[in-house]
Amino acid sequence: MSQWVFIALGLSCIVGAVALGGSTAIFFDLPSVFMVVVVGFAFSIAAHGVGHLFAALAAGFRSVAQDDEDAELYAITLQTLRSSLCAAGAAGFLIGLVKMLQNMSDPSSIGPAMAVACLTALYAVVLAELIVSPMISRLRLRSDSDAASQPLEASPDVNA
Amino acid sequence: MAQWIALLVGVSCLVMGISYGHSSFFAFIDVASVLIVFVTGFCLAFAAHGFLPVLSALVAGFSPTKVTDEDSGRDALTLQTLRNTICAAAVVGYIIGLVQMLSNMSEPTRIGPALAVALLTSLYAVIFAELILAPMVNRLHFRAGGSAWTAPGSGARGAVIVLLAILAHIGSMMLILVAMGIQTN
Repeated sequence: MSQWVFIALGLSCIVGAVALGGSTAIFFDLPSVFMVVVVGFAFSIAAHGVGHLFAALAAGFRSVAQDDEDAELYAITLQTLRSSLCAAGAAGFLIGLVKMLQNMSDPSSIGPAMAVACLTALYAVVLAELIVSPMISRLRLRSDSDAASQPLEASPDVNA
Repeated sequence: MAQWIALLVGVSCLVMGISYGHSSFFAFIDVASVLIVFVTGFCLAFAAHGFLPVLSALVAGFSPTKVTDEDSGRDALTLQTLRNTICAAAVVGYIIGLVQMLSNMSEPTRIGPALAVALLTSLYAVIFAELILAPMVNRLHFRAGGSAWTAPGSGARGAVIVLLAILAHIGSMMLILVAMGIQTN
């Protein structure tokens, strides 16, 4: 239960910071959401299958430790999800940049087009690095108790 | 079967994102970038592992059936090489495009399209190496009995690419503004 409270609190702080800075509508772009979420999930599903991906997400969100014999399978699925969400954000950002650079004739449209391009990167970072990446660390702590004594290796970043 | 549907959904979502708005799909195809990213990347991977091993690793990556463990481990390593060479070829292609753009700064209206072409190499590499190959590498690594904590296809290389693209982009926007200022003065 408590992790939902903290996730909600953290995400609402992001939304609050957005709202304090002005209009929140400019931070929502449906094509960018599709770009990050659908592309990121689709390529992870292509590698690991629908069932494994959703089981892994459920295991990552679960608060009580259960018999996690599949913890490694879930962890590698979430690793793939994390890297493909990041890559989908990168692809969306590059697509937005290329589009912007090809319509340079109107200087006043350059800024908004680049802002929209940046949104895919923003969504990817929030999903992959703030939500999925902590799940991976938690699954690791659950799967072997030795991990707690090896803090340097506990980060999923070792292979970045 | 399900994985082909997922791949199709992912690729068609990318294509929709490309053709959304007032932008033509053909602006995203550049022969020189395709040559640099795919031909160079594949050739250097062939040079390291041989022609047939790379192809069989790709087939194993796409196939849903499980082969033997030692084959999976070798295939994972081969695809990881391919992923690295394609990313490196994209960086080389981006730098080549940037140098070509910078040596032609006299005409500010051509800076944008030239930079767009330079960015296409990174786009191709992100789509092929990070969205298609990296999940495959993870799957083959896990099939071979490797630990999830040492999976080579993980990590936020995509985030690193975004960061580098943003930095490169801010630099080039400043260059464009400087060039436009020179033009108006």
